[in-house]
Amino acid sequence: MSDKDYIKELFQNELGNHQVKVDPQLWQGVQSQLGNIASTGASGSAAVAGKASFLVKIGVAAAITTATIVTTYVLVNNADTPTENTETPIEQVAPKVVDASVKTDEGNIIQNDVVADNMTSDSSIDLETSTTNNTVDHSSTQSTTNSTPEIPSQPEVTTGTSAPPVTNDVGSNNSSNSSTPPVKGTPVPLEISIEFEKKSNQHYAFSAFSKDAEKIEWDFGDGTSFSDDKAEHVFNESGTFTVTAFAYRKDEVVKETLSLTVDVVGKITKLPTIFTPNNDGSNDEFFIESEGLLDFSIVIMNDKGEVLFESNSPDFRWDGRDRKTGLIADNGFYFYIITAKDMLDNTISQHQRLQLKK
Amino acid sequence: MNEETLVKECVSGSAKAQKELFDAFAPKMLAVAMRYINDKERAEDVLQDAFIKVFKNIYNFKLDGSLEGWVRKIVVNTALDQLRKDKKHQTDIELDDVSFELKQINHTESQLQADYLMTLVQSLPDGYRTVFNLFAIEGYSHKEIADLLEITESTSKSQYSRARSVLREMLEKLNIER
Repeated sequence: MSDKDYIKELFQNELGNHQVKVDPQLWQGVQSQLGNIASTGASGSAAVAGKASFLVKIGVAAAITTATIVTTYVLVNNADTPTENTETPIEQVAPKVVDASVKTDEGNIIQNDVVADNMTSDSSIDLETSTTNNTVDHSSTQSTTNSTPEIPSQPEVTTGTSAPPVTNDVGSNNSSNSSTPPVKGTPVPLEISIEFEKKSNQHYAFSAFSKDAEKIEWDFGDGTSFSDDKAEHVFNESGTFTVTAFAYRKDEVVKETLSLTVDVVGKITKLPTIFTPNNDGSNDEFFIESEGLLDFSIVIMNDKGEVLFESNSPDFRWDGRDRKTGLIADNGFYFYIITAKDMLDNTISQHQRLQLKK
Repeated sequence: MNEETLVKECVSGSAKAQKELFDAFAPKMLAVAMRYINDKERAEDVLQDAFIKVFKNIYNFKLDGSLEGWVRKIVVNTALDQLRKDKKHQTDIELDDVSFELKQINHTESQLQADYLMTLVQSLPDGYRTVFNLFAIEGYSHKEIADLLEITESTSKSQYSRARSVLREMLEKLNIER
């Protein structure tokens, strides 16, 4: 009884939690349809309506959305930092304010704090954004500085000497240090480190370590990605790849990269999924195109697992005849498996469905 | 966000929460859809439809249940609906559609397994594949499968055992032992 349903166990273990990479466009599809639902009012409520307009914004310009986020952040930050200064013993604030140079130092300190919070960068901010920031900065810093009436006769000095440096600092900060919207008041900076192990010439195992990341995402530099803290990847082609791991926490992102060089000599350059063995001179034979394959084998089967064709040559051509009957097989779906190695002992395998249509 | 907060936020229509839920489950659910619908693009359509249902119905989700299980059930049901629809509108592929897929998966033995088994499942005929998926992987009983697919329990059992023996033969032929 114990190994009675070995097949069930095998498939359940391997496929029960299997994951397939999801094209980010799929989410956009879902989102846009949810937007439609909201506007037709299927499950209408204030919240849903709000979401619909939010969607429109995203659709119009992602860049503008970024700008808004950054702007908000600057506002928050400006409101925070000066307020902190004024809240801590007011007597201490006053002397500092008098000495303009000290104040500039403090301005720098503020800047540093912001940088620490701001940690990561991705250079996608545009000029518009920083202009917006500057205008917002002015109004907000001024209003905060003005709201410290306890300091006698100092206000003019404050606005005159110290406020502009602060504004500039924060402004330049944002343009140079750019866009990742950080989380206000996060105590621990988000960090990430990565390790990798080369399992074979093209096969690598990666691990990312990040204490409080909510999500880790890998970009393997060859157009594929994966989200988990541990990842394994096989590089299909030769090349130098920049592998990047991103750690996400709310709206914060940090990344770490490494560079790998992979040599793959053999490759399959053409893999048909359908052919039409009806003697009309077009696409009558099934074959592949490849380079540098050794130890080649292909098996073509029907859905009952019966082998119709086998070959050990990468230059094989199959005319669609079942090797048992000698007749061209029925229309339908077949299935082939190719295994091969290249000069560097890389494994190159491919399995795929093949449609036969006479 | 923990699961409970996530669900509540989704109920109130938070786009951010919806995205988070989607990101958390989509890769696994796409694999589920692809076991039923053996064409990736159509499986992606099923995935989208399923998630739209998820968000429209999330207020029905009971917090003491498994969110993943609930989402998976919706994905499976959406896939089954799609299979039923396809059966009605089956049309032949035009010859113009003859296409070449330039896709290559290189892998080592360890990675081979899941992808490879996935292709085996996908290569089964619709009926076998559906029953096999429901029984072996999703863990439905033959009784439940019979109700769901409007077939008899014994049909479900026999389809399953046929599917299993086809898969076993394929595995033996290809010498993939584990």
